[in-house]
Order: sequence, then C-alpha cells, then structure tokens
Amino acid sequence: MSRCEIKKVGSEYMFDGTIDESFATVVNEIKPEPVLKFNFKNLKSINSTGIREWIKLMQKLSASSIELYECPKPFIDQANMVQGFIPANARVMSFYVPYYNEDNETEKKVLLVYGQHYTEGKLNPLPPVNDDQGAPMELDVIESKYFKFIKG
Amino acid sequence: MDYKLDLAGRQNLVKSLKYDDKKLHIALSHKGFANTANRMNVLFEDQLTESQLVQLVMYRDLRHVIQNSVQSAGEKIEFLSNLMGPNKDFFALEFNMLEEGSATEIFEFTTTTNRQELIAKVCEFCLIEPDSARAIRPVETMEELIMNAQINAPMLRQGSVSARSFIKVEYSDTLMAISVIDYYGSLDWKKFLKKIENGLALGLDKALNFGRGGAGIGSTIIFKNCDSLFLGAVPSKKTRVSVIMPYKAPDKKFENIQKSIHIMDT
Repeated sequence: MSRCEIKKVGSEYMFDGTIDESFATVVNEIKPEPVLKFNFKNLKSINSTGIREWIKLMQKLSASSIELYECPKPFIDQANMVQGFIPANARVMSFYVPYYNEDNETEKKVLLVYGQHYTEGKLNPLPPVNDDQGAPMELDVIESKYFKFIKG
Repeated sequence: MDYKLDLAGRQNLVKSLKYDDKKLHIALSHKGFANTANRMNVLFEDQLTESQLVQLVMYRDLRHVIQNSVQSAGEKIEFLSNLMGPNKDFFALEFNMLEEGSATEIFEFTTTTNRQELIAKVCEFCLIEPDSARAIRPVETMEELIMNAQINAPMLRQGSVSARSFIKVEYSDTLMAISVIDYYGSLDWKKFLKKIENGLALGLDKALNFGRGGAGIGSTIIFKNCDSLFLGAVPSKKTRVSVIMPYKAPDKKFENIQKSIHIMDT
C-alpha cells in the first residue's frame, strides 16, 4: 500500500501523502495525456526513494505537458536541490511560500501564482503578509535559494 | 548568524575548558594532524566546506572533527569529554545526545511500523506541527533514518532475528537530537560518507541510484539537515546514527552551520 494516494478530481490529479518507495505502486493511476495537471496541496513530504520514483514518473511522462499546482515547500525544496526534478516539459503553476511571526510563533503559507506573482525567470516583488492580528510576518525561507527554480 | 572561530579563538576556548587531556587530544588544524595513541583524537577546525569535512574523516583517519556552530564548540568538547567517562555507552538507548534537562522520549518500531504514524507521534512529543515549514528538516531526517532501519539494514544483514528498532528524540530550547538505534549492525560508515561525498560532488540527481536498493542520496539528505552527525556500528550487533540539528528553526538558521562528524568506533 502506498503512502501517497492519487485521485483524479475533475481535470486534476490530486496527490495526498508522502512520495516514497511505495510510490511506484500508484503511478499507474496516471494516464498519459497531452496536458496533465497535478495538484500537491495535500503532499506531505518526499523522501530519497520518492525523489527517484518521481524522476522515473517524469521520464515516463516526457511526451506530456505537465502543470504543477499548489506545490508545498517539501516539493519546491527538492526542485531546487535535484536537477531534473522539474523537467523541461513541466511548469510550476503555483506554489506555497511560508511566512512566520517569531513573536507569536504563527505560520502562514502564501500561494504564489504563475503569471501573477512570477513568470519564466522572473519573480515579482513579494506581497506583504500579515498574520490574523495584522502583525507583519517575515519570509521564512532564504529568498535566493527558495526561488532558484524560477530564476534558474 | 556567523559561527566562525579563528585559531586564536579556538585556542582560547580550549584553554578555558576543563577536560582530561590524558583522555582527550584536541588539535586545532588538520595540517600536520596526527592521531595520538590511547586518547580520543579530536580535530577542532573552522570554515571547512561540507566536502572538506567528509573527506577529512574518510581519508585522514579522523574520527571526530568538530566546528563551532549552532551547538557551540564548547558544548561539543564537553560532550566528548563526558563520553570518555565511566559507564558511557554511545550505543545504549539511555545515552543522551543533549544536555541534562532536555525533553527525551524513545519510540519503538519494527520493519512493518507505519512510518507516517511514527513520525507524527515523534512530532507531537517534540511540539512540532508536522505540516509546518519548520518541521520539514526533522521530518525528512526521520524519514531517512527510519527507512534505513526498516529496509536497508535488514536487507544488508539477512537472517537477523531482531526486528525491533528505536528512535530516540531529545529537544531543548535551541537544539534537537534524533537517534535511530537498530540491532542489525550493518552500517558501514565509510560507505555512508562516500554517498555523502558523491551527493555533494555530483549533485543529488547524478548521485541517484536508479537500480535496486536505496536511492543512494538519503545519507546526503540527513547530512544536509544536521549540525552534527554521529555514525556508529557494532558489526552484526547494533547501529546507532544520531544527528543534532537546530530545533524549530528557519532555513536561515541552517545557512551558516559549520558541521561536525563523529565516527563512534567500538
């Protein structure tokens, strides 16, 4: 049994859980199409064997155009660390950026969207983010590293 | 935050610490470093790159290379000094990586334990929200360490009867220690470090193993996330891999870490 569930909801494949060594048992759920939309809103993590299985899947789907939605930090971290994690035929359409307020230890994940907040090779100025009490929150990643996948 | 400590600073620190120099030998530069007999030999360096650090341990027969970092060099030397004390056994479950007073818990698992649930329990004990950005590094590290004990260790030592393994976690205000102890004793620290060396030199994509077995990059992921890495095995009996990392810290905190490596030979 895989720790990652893949379900097709409308036109999107929704990934839920952890991509690990068991991922190979569920990737057959994905049928090659000219355009594939993957949503990672509920993706928890990806381990070392999961990285391998993900790259294998990308190789298998090299003829499709792949759109990646709501990519969480664990996904973006791997994209920045592992070359080829996001192949040329795939594009991050939206991804989360964590913000933090050290005073009240609260976190907020802000969704950046392709075409609105960034485009190919260009990141627009980041929007100011406040917590629920209106206090300003700080970007909780290293800008030069986290947005590397956009800037190349 | 900068953790650099120049030669004069390291000299002053070593002078100010109380330790038994009959048991502990601390050298302050790898140039001309020579192991001395019947003592724990520690190299206390500064500004080593991750690759230099790994290579010093692998190719210069060094067992303990420390640098000042999130966990201070003073604390690291104190830890090693304590380790030389009577009845201290790195492989014992009760052996602690962090100072007295740190919150500590041990969780048992087997090859069939649900890793997700186990990690969730550990996170709950450590007061870490598993889905938060600041949980990513400890969760990634636990994933790799537990997977090693659940899959790789039994595969390397077929026929072993013991399937019980343990994950021990400790945390203080600023640090977190994660130790995984199994009773397969199949860890080869040179191979472990070789994989880190490959991951650092080639990049994770090129270091990936697409053949059978592990992906070959788990060691690098563990190393990337830690401040100190401890590797120890009693062949065919037990393995303990421990890491010390900043607790609930942002990526910025990991940026200037000066890592340390310890090989716990028996």
